[in-house]
Amino acid sequence: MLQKLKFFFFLIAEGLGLALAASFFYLFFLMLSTFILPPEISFFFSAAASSALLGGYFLFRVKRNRNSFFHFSPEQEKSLQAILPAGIFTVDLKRRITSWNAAAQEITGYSAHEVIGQPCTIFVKNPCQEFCSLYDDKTLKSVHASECVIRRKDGQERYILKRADYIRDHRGNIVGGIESFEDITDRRESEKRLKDSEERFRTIFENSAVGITVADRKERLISWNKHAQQILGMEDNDLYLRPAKSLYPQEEWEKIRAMNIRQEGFRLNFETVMIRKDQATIDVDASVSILKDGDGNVSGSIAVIRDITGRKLHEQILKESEAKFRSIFENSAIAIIVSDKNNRLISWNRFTEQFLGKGYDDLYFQHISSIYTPEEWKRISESDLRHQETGHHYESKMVRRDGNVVDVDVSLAVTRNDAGEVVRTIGFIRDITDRKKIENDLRIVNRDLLDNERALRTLLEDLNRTHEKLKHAQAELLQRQEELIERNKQEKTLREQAEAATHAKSDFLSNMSHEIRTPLNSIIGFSQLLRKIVLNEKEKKFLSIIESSSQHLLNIVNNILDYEKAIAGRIVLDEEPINFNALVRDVFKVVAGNVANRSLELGFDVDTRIPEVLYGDDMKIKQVLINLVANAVKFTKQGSVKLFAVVDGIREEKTGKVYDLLVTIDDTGIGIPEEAQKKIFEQFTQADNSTTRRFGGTGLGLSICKAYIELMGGKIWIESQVGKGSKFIFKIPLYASIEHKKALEYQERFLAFENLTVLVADDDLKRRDQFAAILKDSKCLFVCVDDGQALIDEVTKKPYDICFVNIKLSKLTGVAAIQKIRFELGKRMPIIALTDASFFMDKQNCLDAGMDDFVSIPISAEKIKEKIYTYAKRKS
Amino acid sequence: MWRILVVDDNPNNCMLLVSTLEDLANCDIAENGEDALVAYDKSLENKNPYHAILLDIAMPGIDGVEVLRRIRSKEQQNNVLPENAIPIFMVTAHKAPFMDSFNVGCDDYILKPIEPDKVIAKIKDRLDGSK
Repeated sequence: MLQKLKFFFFLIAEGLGLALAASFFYLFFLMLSTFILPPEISFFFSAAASSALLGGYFLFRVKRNRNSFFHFSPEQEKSLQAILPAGIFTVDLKRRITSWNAAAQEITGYSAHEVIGQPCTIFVKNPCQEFCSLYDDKTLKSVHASECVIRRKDGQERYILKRADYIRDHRGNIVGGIESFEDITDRRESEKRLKDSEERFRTIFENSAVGITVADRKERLISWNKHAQQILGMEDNDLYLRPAKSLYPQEEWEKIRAMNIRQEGFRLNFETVMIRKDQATIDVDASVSILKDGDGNVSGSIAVIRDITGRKLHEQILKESEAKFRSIFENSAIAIIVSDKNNRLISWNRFTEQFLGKGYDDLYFQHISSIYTPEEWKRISESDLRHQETGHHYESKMVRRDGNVVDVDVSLAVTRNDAGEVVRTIGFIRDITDRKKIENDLRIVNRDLLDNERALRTLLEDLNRTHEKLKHAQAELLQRQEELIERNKQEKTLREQAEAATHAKSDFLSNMSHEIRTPLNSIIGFSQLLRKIVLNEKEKKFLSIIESSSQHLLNIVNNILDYEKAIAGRIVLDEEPINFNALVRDVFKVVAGNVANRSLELGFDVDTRIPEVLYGDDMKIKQVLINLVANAVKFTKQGSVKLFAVVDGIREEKTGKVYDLLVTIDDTGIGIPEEAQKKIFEQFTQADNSTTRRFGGTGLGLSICKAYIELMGGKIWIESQVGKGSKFIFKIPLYASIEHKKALEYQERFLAFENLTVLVADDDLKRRDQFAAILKDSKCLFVCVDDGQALIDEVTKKPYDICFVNIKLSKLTGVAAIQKIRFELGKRMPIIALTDASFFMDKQNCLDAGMDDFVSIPISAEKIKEKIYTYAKRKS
Repeated sequence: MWRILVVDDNPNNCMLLVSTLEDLANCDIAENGEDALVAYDKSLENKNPYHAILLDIAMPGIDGVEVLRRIRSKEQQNNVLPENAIPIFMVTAHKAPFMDSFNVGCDDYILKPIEPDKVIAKIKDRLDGSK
């Protein structure tokens, strides 16, 4: 530095001096030339002269400078070359070596005198042209470093690093070359070794079966291998510079800290817990070592981790398994004894102590023979059971502490070492004293059983024979049953035929009656018209015969119809208010017309206790009364016909107050013989067939009376003496009020229909409740559904006796549902529509859909009961 | 003289009724329900309506009750007041079917076999009363 300053100082001083000198010469030449030359030329000349002087000095300076900075004396050069650690040689332009230093000799093995004057290629190993190639390529840079291989004198090959330069003379022409080189073979090799070992280490590191992580001095991860990634489930970017602390649960990290690894330098194989990226914890076996730099400062740490979660789990399972087996062992209800190879007891379970009545001291390390009876042990040891394998089992006897001998069953489990020697024997011992006893007992029982079996077999054979007989009997029975069924069928057919016949008769009668009435209509009508036309007496007489005959015929026909109806049960009784007194009066009015020209006393007496209003079928009662009174009149030529009506009794029935009326029609007529009295109420009968001729009449009147009265719940009978007169007496119950009765009547009728199934399809909850209330006391089975579809489902499921269907159902209208039931499902049970009274069209639709009847909404209990009664009756 | 339509499938019955009423009314005869309805319509068209109809119930084809129902529904369509409705008498052998006709709107009934005096009395009573 100082030298440089000095150098610059000299330069500045020299520059100043030069400038001073130049100006001085310029003035000097100017003065000289002004005397001989014109001023313009002298000016130019003095400038040129001073410049030339200055230039000459400069050239001189440059030359002097070069010598002073880069010049060594040959001695200096020689000693320099000698001490340089690198080999140095110089060559001339013909590549002959001109100098060769000591280091060069050392490296190449050639001495100076061997190589001076020789071409420099002599020790260059072919094909290394680098060495000495200096002069072939003039364009090479003057300095370059390159590596190449040379062959030493002893044939060894060495790597060298060389640098070369040209040598120029003071004019700058190239006059030779200089090269320096050093032997780098050792360095190269150690570098290569280092590289190899690093490579090896990296391979180990990367492919290691354990996880390896490297942390810097701040405990952040800077390097890791694949396995570590796998263990931690993390990617490179998850791990890079991640604090090691974050890989451990808090308490584990503190434990690791407490190990003080930094001071000790390393810690091997401790178990800890790490956290994976997915937050799962894993058990690991870790070893940590502290890394130190050359100065002994901690530069980081390296950790080797192994995932031992699986192992831990396995250990856990093993532990549990062992605990389990220990538990089994300890709590086993059989004695388990473990003995060593010398037959000494080393372990047993609790039950063993109980079983043998011995304590720990009695057993521990005792010879196994101590638990057997001596004879048994002798037997066992002689058979050398020790060579038996696991699973061998025998029966023996053992001695308890109290001296009792117990029968036992022993199973062995034998453990052997690799050499096949027995290490341990485990005996499972069961007390079979009881079993032995039972076996003995069994043997006896068995013998008895065999005897019994023989006896049983005999019995069984008998039984089989009986069974055969029974089978025959059963078959016969079955046959008879079938016959019975057949007969039943026949009977049923017969009954049906009879019923059909009755029906046919009834139909025939009513049709005939009707047919007869039509012409009668004309006969009677025209007879009456004819009467208005003036006729003579004879004609009038004939006409009245026609009239009375046709009237008679009409009566007969009407009676036949009425009777037929009554008998066939086609009559429904009315419940009308009756004023009995007025009724009787009317009857007598009617009859009076027929007796106008006879001396007959007619009269009636009606009990005042009979209420003004009673309920019953007024028309039927009237008809009965007319019949009876007219009958009496007919058969009474003289005397009297009287009617008496009295209250025979008043009853309180469930259905209400009932008056029993006793009515007597008393005449003084011809009377009826006793034998005829019995038949008098039979159809087409008169007391004497001759009477028909005398008195006319259909012979049906009394039959009809009887039928009507019995229909009304009463009875009729006769008291008569021939020649003195007859009393026709009947008794009928009439209700004081019918409201209660009607309600009860339906109720009763209901009760008669047991297990009648009623289905109600209505979405109105209130109405369904109403139905439930109505049917509550009946024995009807009552089911409700909500909508049309449910209705169809329900009907398909099981048969119903009656359905009530609201025609405005949801899902499927009632009409559609009924149509489906009738036409698709083909069900024929009665269906009664619940309709709004105002919807006439609905009604029509319902009829078309196959409905049987309607009940209008709002419904009444009466109506519903009536419908159920009507249709249930029809069914039965 | 009144104009009365007598409807019955039995000509004798028709004859009987016509004869019964001959002093009171000019009677037209229809032998079945269809003819009866035609006659009724015609009488309306000619602005010469009947004063009454005697209608047998049991007829083949359209029966008396149905004829009655149709006539009443026509009247309803024509906004005829109930008091101006044509009197219709059902002629029947049975009482029971009459009860149905009563529901449909008949005025009275004549039971077969007819008694001429009663028929005359009934019709006179009804038609005089309506006048």
